[in-house]
Amino acid sequence: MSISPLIVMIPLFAQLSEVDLINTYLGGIVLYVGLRLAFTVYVLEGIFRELPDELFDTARLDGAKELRIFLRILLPLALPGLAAVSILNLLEVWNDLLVGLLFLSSPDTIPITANVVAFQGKFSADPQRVFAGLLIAALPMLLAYLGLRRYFIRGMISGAFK
Amino acid sequence: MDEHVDSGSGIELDQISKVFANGTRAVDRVSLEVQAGEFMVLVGPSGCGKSTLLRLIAGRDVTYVEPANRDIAMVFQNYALYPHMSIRQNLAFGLKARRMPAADIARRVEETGGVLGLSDLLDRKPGQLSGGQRQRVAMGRAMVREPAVYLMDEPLSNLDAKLRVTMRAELTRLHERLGVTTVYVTHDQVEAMTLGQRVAVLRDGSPQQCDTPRRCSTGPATCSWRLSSGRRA
Repeated sequence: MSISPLIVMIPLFAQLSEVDLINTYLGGIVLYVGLRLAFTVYVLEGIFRELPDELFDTARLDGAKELRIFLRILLPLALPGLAAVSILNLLEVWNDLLVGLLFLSSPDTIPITANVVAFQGKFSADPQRVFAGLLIAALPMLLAYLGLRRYFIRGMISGAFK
Repeated sequence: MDEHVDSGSGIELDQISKVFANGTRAVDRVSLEVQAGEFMVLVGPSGCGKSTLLRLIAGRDVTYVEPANRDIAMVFQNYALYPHMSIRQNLAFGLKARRMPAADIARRVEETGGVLGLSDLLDRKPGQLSGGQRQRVAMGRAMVREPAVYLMDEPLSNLDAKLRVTMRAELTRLHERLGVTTVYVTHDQVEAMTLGQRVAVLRDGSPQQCDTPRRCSTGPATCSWRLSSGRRA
């Protein structure tokens, strides 16, 4: 994203109201996918481009069709990159407050991270609830990181070439 | 461009040219005939178009026959092993892609591994092997398919001098045993003279001479080979 998401919030709100997607999960999905897509494509393009052509030439000479090359060679080799992009997107979306408060603010759809804010009013605060909420909100991210951690550490490309 | 590879036979290049998008003429009307079972070496200085020519034979730029249907195996300079697969899977990949029964695949992989002395390494990943071992895996991946033609693009240039000599002898022995048509690209004249049954000298994309190593060294058709490499044959 090269422009601040804040700038596009008003037109987005108008558009989503028109198609009745405010306060729906579908609306949230569409928004988050749209907002993160540019970044994701940009990073993934670089990752795929770095994979050496010879591997695919060899696979073609080995008689593999494009789908097999994609599934058996390109995808496994891009896995560390895919994992890194996934975790970045996950963090960004999970931590997002803006879309949660603006577009998903009904009690049915509000994300947990946005809801923590509700424990804190203008003249009152409930620190126990806020901290408990934050802890609960942080747990899934911690688990996701533990699950994907090995992909950051393992350089899978090592050993392919001299 | 006109080119065809018949099963178990030689290669005939008829007036092949390759011009890159920026106008560079990398290969200029090359006509070359490689007999069935022959070991042909393409030799010439860097940038003379020998690798490009090899890739043309491999089918990268020619659309008449799909690379998969050419029955050709290629060994790259940097080996291009699949890094996420074990050696066994590396060797089996081409056979699986051709839907060979699993039992036959296992048998062929074991056989090839035995011939190349890789039997103990089959369950390792390429990253756990030395340069010489990787080179043998790259050879094995080509051999296991039993193709009609081998193409080799400077397969020994990443090895140390001693290993290179050993592998050279190995290659000659292998070719004598299998008798498969081989096109071998190198810039190393010693390699060309010792390996090739015939040697084609390339310069600036066009062939200068194509003859037996002995005749190439005693009476060059042109002296450009010596001039271009600065070494005497």
